[in-house]
Amino acid sequence: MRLPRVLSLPRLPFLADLGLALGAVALLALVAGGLLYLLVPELKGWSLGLIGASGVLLLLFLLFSYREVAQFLGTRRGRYGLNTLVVVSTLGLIVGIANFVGYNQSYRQDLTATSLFTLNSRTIRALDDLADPVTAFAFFPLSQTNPLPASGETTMGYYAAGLLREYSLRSKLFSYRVVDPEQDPTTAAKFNVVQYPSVVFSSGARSQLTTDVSEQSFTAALLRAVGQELKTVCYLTGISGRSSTDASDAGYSSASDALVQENYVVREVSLGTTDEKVPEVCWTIVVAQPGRDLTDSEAALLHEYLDDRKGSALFLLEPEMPGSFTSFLAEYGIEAGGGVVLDGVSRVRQDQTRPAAQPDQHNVQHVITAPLSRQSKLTFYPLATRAAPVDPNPEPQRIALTSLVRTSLERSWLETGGEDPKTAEAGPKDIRGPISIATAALVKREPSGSSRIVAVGDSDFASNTFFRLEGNEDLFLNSVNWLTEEEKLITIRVKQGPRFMVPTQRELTWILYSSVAFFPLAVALVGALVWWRRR
Amino acid sequence: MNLRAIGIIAGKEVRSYFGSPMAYIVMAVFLAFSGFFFASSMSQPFPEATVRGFLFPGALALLLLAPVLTMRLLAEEQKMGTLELLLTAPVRDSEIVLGKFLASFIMVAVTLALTLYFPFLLFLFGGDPDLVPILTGYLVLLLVGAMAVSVGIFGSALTSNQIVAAVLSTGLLMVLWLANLTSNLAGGSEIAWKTAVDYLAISGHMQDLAFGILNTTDLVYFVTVIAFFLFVTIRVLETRRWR
Repeated sequence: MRLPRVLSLPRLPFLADLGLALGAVALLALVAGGLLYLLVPELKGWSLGLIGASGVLLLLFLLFSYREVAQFLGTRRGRYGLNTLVVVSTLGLIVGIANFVGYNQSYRQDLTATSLFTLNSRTIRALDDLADPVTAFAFFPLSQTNPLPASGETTMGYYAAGLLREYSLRSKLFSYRVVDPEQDPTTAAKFNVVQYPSVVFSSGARSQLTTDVSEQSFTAALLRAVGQELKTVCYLTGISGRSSTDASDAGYSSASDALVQENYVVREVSLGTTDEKVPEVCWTIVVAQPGRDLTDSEAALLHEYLDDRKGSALFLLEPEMPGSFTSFLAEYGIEAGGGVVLDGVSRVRQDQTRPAAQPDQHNVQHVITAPLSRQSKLTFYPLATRAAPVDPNPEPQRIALTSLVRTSLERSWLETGGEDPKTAEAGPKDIRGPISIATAALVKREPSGSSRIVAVGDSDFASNTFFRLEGNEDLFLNSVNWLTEEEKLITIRVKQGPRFMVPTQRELTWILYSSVAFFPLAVALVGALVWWRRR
Repeated sequence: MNLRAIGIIAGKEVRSYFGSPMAYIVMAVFLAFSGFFFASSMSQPFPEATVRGFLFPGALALLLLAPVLTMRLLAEEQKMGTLELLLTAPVRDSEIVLGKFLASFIMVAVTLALTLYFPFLLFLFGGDPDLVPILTGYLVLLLVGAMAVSVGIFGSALTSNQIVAAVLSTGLLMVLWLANLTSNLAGGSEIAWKTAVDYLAISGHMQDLAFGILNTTDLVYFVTVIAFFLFVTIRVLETRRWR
């Protein structure tokens, strides 16, 4: 290779050797500077200095050893070697870019049958609404977060880390750290963590600790850490025939659990006795199966809550409900009671006293029932009464009434004659269907705001026996979400939970011996036969 | 690219694998190792009807055993002097590498196919397992296996010593497996390099698929790393023409 004249310096062997040494030092300085820059940002000045020095040394290397470099590049090995280096580096760069793009523009889909790793709508809402960074510190001994747990992957720490990872993938403002309290007692002490497992959600000066490893607990702690209060759903006791804590078939403990899962606080209130009026914390009240007439003072307290404080209420009724509720709901444009709703076409187990609402019998126009219609969900109401909009609406400017669920068009009616519902036939005095079983009322208030009421002509659908079946849970929770103005949370809930199995001891023994011994030995035996034949 | 040539090379290597006891030993060891972890996960108080219990240990076993399968592929050819013959044959370097890669991958796939006995047990004992996480679990094991094989062939191309080739490949794979642990030990959580080092870790890219979640980030990672090592192996083989 012909060299430019300016580079034709006299050849001094020791300079060439020095150049090579400087080249090696330049390479080391470059690597050290790069590592220092990445690992110790505090020493940024030093690292940049090293990188700069490596550049200078590289120039000196080229200056002193230019002949050797030029000679090497002039050979076949040099040219091909350089070519290979450039091609491999280019491919490395392409791989790097592809992964960078893949990391930042990923598509992620939970394919499990039960959507086990899909965050619920309340969590998604909380994460999407984050305004400030939140960091979760998960305090677990290292053995509980080992990526290779010898006893399976179901240890609590592993599950918690997985859950927190889902949170961090949803929001850029959410991050988490798994802390081994034995190795990092300082961080544990900072948050006053004295028991494990514990997860602390920290945002600015606020922090919230939870010891329960579940999505509901994490989200509740997250909301508290960012200063949000959980909304309270109040069950009216005394008036209601159902209790939020009753775990029997007729009780509402499942519904209460589901509300807690959606990050509501559930409490019971008793008007006029322990509670003077509906407490301020109540975002909505639930009256399930009214068992007796409202007293004047109770009616006044409910009016004060709904009208003056723009409250909301969910009424779950029964055919034999007291008359005072019929007149109370009429004031809000809802016509309730008057008989038993029977359906000879759309019904459960051929029982006309159990009308079932097919997907298209749910009002697709209303936010509560639209998901039920869209996702082909069925709801059913054992022994229900009517809960319909008053027709015509006496105050259309003030009250917006929407029928949510109707019985079938053919052969459904409101049995008013007092016949045995099981065998009754539609008579001339009965009201022909379709009959509204659920109605929503939105009452405008001056100067602004509104009261919200949902009335369902049945309370059994949300009892423990029927709550988890079909779309009943969704109707109940969607109603509460609408009443508490949490429309964004309205959805269809996938029944979650991993699929467990309960092998017997004999089955376990078979699993162990066949997996660890019999099967591998059989393969090894085939190998031995192959070896024997080839021998 | 001549697919027939790739097929012929792969076929020869597969026959060679099944004609020697080594493949069966590797398969038996892998099965016993995986079986132990599967059985352990089943002996929990309320075991989940899933094969996840053996996926991570199984992947680790693949990373350790795949270099044993691949170590001789090119190193032996170099040592015996047959590589020169192969390089002068009317086949491209890429076809040689892909043929040998395919053969080793078939071995890995057969080994994994034998572990289908585990999900069979889940169905047999009435576990009603969710099929999707099982399928995605096997997909990720196949991807890890393909990656281990591509790194193994790369190691085998670098040297004529089989032991050195296996150690080199295993070392490289262990660096990729333990990358996130290294960054955890270093501490800190919001440094870009930590994210990058964590990203390199194989185990981090297994988690979603092991749980039945499809994540394109993981697919991009596995496919590009496999392609990268295969390409570099082809270039390393090419250097023999001008070194």
